[in-house]
Amino acid sequence: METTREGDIYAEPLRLLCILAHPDDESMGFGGILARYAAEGVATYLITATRGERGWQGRPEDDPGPEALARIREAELREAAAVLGLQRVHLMGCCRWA
Amino acid sequence: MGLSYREALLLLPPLLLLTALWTALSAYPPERVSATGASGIVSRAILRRRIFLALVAISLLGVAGEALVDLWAVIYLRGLGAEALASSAAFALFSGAMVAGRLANSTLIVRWGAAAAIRCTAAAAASAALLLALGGVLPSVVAFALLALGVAGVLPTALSAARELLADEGEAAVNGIVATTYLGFVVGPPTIGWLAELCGLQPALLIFLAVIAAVMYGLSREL
Repeated sequence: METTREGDIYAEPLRLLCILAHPDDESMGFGGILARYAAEGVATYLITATRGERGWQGRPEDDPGPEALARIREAELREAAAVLGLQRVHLMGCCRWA
Repeated sequence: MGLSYREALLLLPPLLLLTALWTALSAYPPERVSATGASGIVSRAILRRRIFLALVAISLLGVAGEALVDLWAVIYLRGLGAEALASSAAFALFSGAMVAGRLANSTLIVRWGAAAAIRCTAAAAASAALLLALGGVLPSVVAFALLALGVAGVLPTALSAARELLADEGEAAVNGIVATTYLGFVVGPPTIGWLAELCGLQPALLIFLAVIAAVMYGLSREL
């Protein structure tokens, strides 16, 4: 019984889903792992809770605002996803709770 | 090879249960934490304080150790021939070990102080190096879990020690430590990669762990 169940898992094509808080966590934290698995043929996916709306590190007066910043962070994330070989990226936009 | 994903995940519940028992025995935080210092701006004067530099080095290496586990552990295990599924489960184990390490660290500080906590980190790094030197998937999984346990509490330890030991400039010290912390995340993993290209991943990890163990042990005397 155990062997059958284990066998079934290994028979499936491997998929890796990463659920992270912010755009850039995928590169800072474990980008190497995602790239390695993607290179091995594992289908890799990413969900981020926020769109990086509040990810401004510079002077407050230069902050472009949540919407503009989210667009910048999303563009950066999609570029990173291409480098890391991610198949799909989904940004949840849960910033109101972040 | 050597370890199934199920075995890797089975190591996690006992670890978290032990941590819950360990932390249930002490109240934390030990006292009310209040803001100190005037501006919180890092001054030139604080940059010359030996204890501040020691705490920066400790937190930098601690965070670099966390980044090592996050980024290199799974890649190393895959290189040893561990299954992709088992390696991913091991990653969950390392993340759980970091949670356990951070929780357990508070009890360690309350009972034995910051210096003892940092010496435990040094011991964990040294033990992890010995286990990695043995080779094989299982000793390596235990090594990374041990390292994750050991380094997870370093940053909170350094921050609370800064508050205590640099009471007059506690706020600025905390700001300075947090600012340099990101350097550990950004510089640590590529440094290991660069070393790995020169001498191979296992020697690179061993060198890095030896540095963490030696520096942490040496600087614990400053606390």
